[in-house]
Amino acid sequence: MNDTTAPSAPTPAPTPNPRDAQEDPRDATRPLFDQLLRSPAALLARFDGPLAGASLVQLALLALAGHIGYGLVVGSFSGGEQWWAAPLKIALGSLLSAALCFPSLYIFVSRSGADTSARHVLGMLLAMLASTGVLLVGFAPVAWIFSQSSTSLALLAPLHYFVWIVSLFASERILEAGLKHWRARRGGLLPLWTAIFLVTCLQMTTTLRPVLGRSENFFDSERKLFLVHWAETISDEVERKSGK
Amino acid sequence: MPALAGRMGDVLQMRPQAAVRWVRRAGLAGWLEPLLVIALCGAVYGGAMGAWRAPLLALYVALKLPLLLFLTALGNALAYGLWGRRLGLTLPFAECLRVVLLSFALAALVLAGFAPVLGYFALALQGPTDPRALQAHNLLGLAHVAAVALAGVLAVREQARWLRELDPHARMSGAVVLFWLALNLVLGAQISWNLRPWFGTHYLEVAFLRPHPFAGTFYESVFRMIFHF
Repeated sequence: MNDTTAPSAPTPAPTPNPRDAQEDPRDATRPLFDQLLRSPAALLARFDGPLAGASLVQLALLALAGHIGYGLVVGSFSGGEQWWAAPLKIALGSLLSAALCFPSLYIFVSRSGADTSARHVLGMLLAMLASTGVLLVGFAPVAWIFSQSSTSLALLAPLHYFVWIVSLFASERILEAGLKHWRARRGGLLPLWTAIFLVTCLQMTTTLRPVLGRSENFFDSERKLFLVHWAETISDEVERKSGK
Repeated sequence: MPALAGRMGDVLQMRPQAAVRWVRRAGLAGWLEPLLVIALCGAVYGGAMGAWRAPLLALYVALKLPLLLFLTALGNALAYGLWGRRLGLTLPFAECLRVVLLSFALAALVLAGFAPVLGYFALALQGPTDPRALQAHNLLGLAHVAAVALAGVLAVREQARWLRELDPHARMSGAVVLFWLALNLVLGAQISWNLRPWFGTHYLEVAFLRPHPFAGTFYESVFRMIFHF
């Protein structure tokens, strides 16, 4: 009885799949800032526990700090009173837009079948704003260099919008993580909500204008659609430059 | 009030059992609670709808939008029960009406969620005295059509789910929902015509109702528009 069968090769250790890596048990003990960037699910789990209130406050402060930080870069373009007006308007505008869109987010999250309360949805929204603010600060040096190198509103405004939109879409994963965390059965309406939030923020920049450029007034009270405002700004700049 | 909010939250979170309990609830509360949600949420959305033209129209539309929903449900109340029965549903007439009222309440709640954003746009876009008022008027009109369509779709889909839960043996619950929807659209369009203005044409005076609210029908005006075109 000569058994010639080669011994079976040892089974290789299973490689951790990306999903397990996301659910690293160490995520739960990481600081809030780390969780915000690395493991949104662990951050959202805070809203089910005793740290919920403190976490909401921390996220709100982080969102404010991030937007104010980027606002300083925006304000550096015009200088003068825009040093304080631009950060104030950007932070205020983001929070106002978030407040206006909160009820529709609550409706959409509820319609996804997620087992959430208003506090959970508020947490998701503040976490998204905080993440956007943090990512904006990351882009601040790049935006600052452009702000100091150009005098064209028509160039810088789209640049700032682009940076903000990239930061916003990169932060949208927090909403998706929230739906998964609270066992949503479907998430089809989130892109629609993001579009509503985006358009509201764009209109808010027109309502609170001037944010980037200068004006004699702190606010321009004329009611206007943001697209009309953009078209007028570009046409003014073209006229001014061709007049030169 | 917190209990009502909790029940409405359950309905919003797609728990058909919560809707079934509400529909089968005996007593006055089973009627008053959906009516209260329609009145409050409809008023919030109505306020946002009328805000572009003038604060007075916002107040009028806040009163008229819940009225439109009540009158539509009331006008079709008998037809809901009769046609439900004709299509094989075994629900009493009162429960049929409560299913419709609850779906109106859900739609009103979804619309109220959009009210802050739409109200903000009503106050931020060019006003009715601006030379470009028509642009803002049309843009807001489209946004309201989209919001109402979305709320309606969500409510109708949910209504079908509730009917399957209320009467699992009914084989035509989908047809019942579609028929009720058709009834609501036919009567709702006409009542909205009678109760106009909603949005406020920028060159017309603000009024609760037009001078001759019963002159003509919604369908005649659509026919005239097509013919004119």
